[in-house]
Amino acid sequence: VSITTHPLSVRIAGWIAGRNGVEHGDVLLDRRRVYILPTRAGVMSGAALIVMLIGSINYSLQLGFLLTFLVASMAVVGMYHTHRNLARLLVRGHHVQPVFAGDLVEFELVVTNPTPEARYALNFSFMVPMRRRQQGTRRRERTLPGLWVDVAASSNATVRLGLPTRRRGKRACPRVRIETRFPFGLWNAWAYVTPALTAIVYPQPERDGPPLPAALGGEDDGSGMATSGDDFGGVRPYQAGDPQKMIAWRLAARSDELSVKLFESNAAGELVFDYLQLPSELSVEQRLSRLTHWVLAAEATQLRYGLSLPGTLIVPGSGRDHRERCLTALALYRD
Amino acid sequence: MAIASTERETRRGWRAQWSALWQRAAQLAQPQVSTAARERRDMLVLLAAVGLVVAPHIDHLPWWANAVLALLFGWRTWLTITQRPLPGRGAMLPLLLSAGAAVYLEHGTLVGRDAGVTFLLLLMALKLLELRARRDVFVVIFLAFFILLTQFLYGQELHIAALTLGTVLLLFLVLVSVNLVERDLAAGAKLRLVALILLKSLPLTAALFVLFPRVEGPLWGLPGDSTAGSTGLSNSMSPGAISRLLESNEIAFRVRFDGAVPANRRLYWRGPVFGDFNGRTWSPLAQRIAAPPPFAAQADASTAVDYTVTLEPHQRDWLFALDLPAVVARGGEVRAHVTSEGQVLSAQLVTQRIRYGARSYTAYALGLNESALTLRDWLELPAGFNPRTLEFAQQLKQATPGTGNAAREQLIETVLDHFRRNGYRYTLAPPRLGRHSVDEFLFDTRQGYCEHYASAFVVLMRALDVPARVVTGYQGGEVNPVDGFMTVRQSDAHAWTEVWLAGRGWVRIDPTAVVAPLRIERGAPEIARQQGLAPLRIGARTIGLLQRLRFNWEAVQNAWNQWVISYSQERQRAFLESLGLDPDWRTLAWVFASVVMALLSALAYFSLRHRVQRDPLAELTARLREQLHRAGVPVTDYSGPRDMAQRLGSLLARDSEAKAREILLALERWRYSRDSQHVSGAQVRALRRTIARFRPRLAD
Repeated sequence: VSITTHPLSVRIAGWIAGRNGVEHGDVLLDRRRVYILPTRAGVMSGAALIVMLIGSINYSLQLGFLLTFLVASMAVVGMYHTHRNLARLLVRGHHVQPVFAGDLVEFELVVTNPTPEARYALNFSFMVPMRRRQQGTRRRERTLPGLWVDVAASSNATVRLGLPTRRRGKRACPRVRIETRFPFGLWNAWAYVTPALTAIVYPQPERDGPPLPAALGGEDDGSGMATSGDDFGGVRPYQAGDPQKMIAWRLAARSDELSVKLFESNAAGELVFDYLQLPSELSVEQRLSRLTHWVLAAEATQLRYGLSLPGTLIVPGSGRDHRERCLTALALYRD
Repeated sequence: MAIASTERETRRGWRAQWSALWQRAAQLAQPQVSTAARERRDMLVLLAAVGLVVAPHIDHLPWWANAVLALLFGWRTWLTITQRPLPGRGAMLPLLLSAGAAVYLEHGTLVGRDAGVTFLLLLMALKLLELRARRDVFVVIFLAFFILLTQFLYGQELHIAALTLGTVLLLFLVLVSVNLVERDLAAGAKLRLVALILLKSLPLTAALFVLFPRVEGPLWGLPGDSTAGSTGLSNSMSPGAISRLLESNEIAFRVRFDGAVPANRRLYWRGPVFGDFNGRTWSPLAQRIAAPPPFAAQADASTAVDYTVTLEPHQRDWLFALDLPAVVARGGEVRAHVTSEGQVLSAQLVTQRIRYGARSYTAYALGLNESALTLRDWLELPAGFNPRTLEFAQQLKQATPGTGNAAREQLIETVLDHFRRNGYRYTLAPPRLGRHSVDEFLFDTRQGYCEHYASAFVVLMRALDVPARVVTGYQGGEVNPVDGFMTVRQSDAHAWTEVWLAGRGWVRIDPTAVVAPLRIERGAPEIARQQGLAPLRIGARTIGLLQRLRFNWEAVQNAWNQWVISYSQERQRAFLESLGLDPDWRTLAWVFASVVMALLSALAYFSLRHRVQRDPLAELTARLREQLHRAGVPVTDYSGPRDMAQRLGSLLARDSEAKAREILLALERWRYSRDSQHVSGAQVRALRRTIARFRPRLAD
């Protein structure tokens, strides 16, 4: 356990900055937020310097004193450089894309360097709660492997931190630890930021699930499908393969191009996937998984589809936004 | 059952998927930089730095260690360049054990200076072959720092310090390279960074060096070999003992005179005094017939000379002082006393450069308190040696009867005259002598260096019943006009004699001066030059530019020795006193703590203060806003130029309004025009002046 990840130092650090909550907007890593301690190599080098000092005293080596003090002073100045390499950065939660459970969610942070000095070798990593098996070690958090970033002078950089997901629902961005050991690796400066980012994790789509319960224009077969009337829905340009009876002949007489009359019921069977009509032996998650699979399948075949969950009804529609609405509803179902 | 097993399988499958996901997350986190080329280059830089660490040690390592080191370095370099894998861990342990065994066989220990250094170097070279993690790089670098320290056990000259500084820079450069992850910096940028950090650390280094409390003496015993082999006078004199020193241009000691520098012929630096002669070699009196009288001398006070000697370590207990020393070690740094022979002995071996003050009188009478009994020690001659010399002495004695001072002075003059007249030559390369060395020199070869003349003269004197002895030391010295220090070198080593005369005590007779007056007037190197035998100081005294360069360089070296290498408790005290402080440890602790704290605070202040990029136009806008606000224009805290222009309305007097609009227009133009980046400092200053002078008046 290095001292920087010791539970006590973590807790004290959190207590001092009162930052167990989410932080909105640009978070300035000011002097009070940046902590610094020697690394293991730094402690070792301190010990080596003490041995060198004792040697110099014993042999009255004035040049030895000079060397020892020079190296020690450079290490001390290095401490300020390490601190300076981290302080005064601005960190902001930028963006996160929804993902399916079992996929990697990538939280996107933007780190801005408002100073005219470049910053090197900044490590961004997530602090996540300990796994149950490791909780005996008394540490409450562990650091995931981090991402190394340099930020040029007066510029910014985007950091994408990946986190595996297992369960559907909301996934808040964990605490982010930003640390640096530049330039000499003898000191470790770090700061914590909890960006205001929450990812939506969709249920994992059922693999090799049953096909869409609706055939084109099919009738109710009791498996969660419904058809609706045939309202006129507009025209679109003719595509090879469109049936002749759908061509808008009257429109064709007035233009050079063929158009096709669209009827909602003709363009696609309008489906509403109903949670309650799924086989009762399926668990909640399995049902959501199947519904997710259907939403994806329906969207892929450009069907109009809706979703009926207990307490939620999404009227049929299509398109990216619609798909997202459905998937989000599935993700957050009784979450 | 079947269901359970499928569940387990799916769980296993899930677990596999889960770990694959973590691997993906980790891959996302890893730097996507091709590092092979960079690692190779960093490794070569590290090898170069480590090479610089090893280089100064090559001279004093056993040959096999040099060979092994070269082999290991060559191997490591080859592995790096050809990008081959390092040897396995299995190979390292036997290599390490055999290195340890070899060092033990060579030195019989692993801890002494030479053994320790050899072992550490081998350890570092082996560690290089085991460089796997970043941690290993740190291990190598701190081993390197430690080995850098050990090279000062062998020498602390200026050029070693310069080399060390370069090595330190290079080692820190490697550290920077290792700690850059995503992107590498150009070598120049890294070097600038390290140099900047070095510069910033200099004040702290200097303060620590000057103020860190110095403790006298070692904390524990020094290994026997920590200070070995240095040239200088030895505690015996046989033919060739002194002339071999002539080849050495090494500095024996430096002298700073408080007053005028005495004439060269008075510069006899008194060292060991020899009374025992075994036919070939002179050595100090081992057994005395009677206890020697206490040191007693009468001196002419007008010839007092005060000076300070900085003596190079020579591993002996004698100190050198101008003939004849009265008070030595005024400073208190060195404890020493003057023996009855006028020789200065230190309480400790001179194992490091020391400094002592002394007072001498160039006109004196030494040993007036000798008795006939104590003088018998200075009359002994070995039986069975130099029969022809003894016979010659008998002839001289018969020619000059009597035992009084007059007869003795007559005899001395006769012998010196003998040297002067019979074709004796002063040479730096005398022929080899056999068993009867004095006989052969006096009657056959007639060529010799100062030790031949001194030896022959004392033997003759003793054969004539005149108490006589050989005194060795240095004669002459060279004043460096740059810093005023006199430098006395090993090549200035000299041997002369003393004879005892009633009422006058021990009188210095330098037979060499008779044969080669130039030697005493101008110094040994002059003779060497004339004889074409001085390889190291050829012509330096006559070539102006070279001479000046040499003097300057030696002054720098001397300053280095005086202020860095010889820095001691004594110097530290003197420094505190010069600041008007009480030189006790409490003051020292205070000064040390406060200076270090002050420097750390200054460093913190300058390092942690981030430069904020100021926006002069925003400042000027704010200033104008303030002016308008005071005049009564309802501007807000966030009003920009355009907003302010709108709010002006017709509140202001006509000329004020025109002026305000002019300024606002300028501000807006500079802010938003395409060349807003090119607003010069002069323009900004002009506008600032305009705004400062602007006094908006409301319309009546």
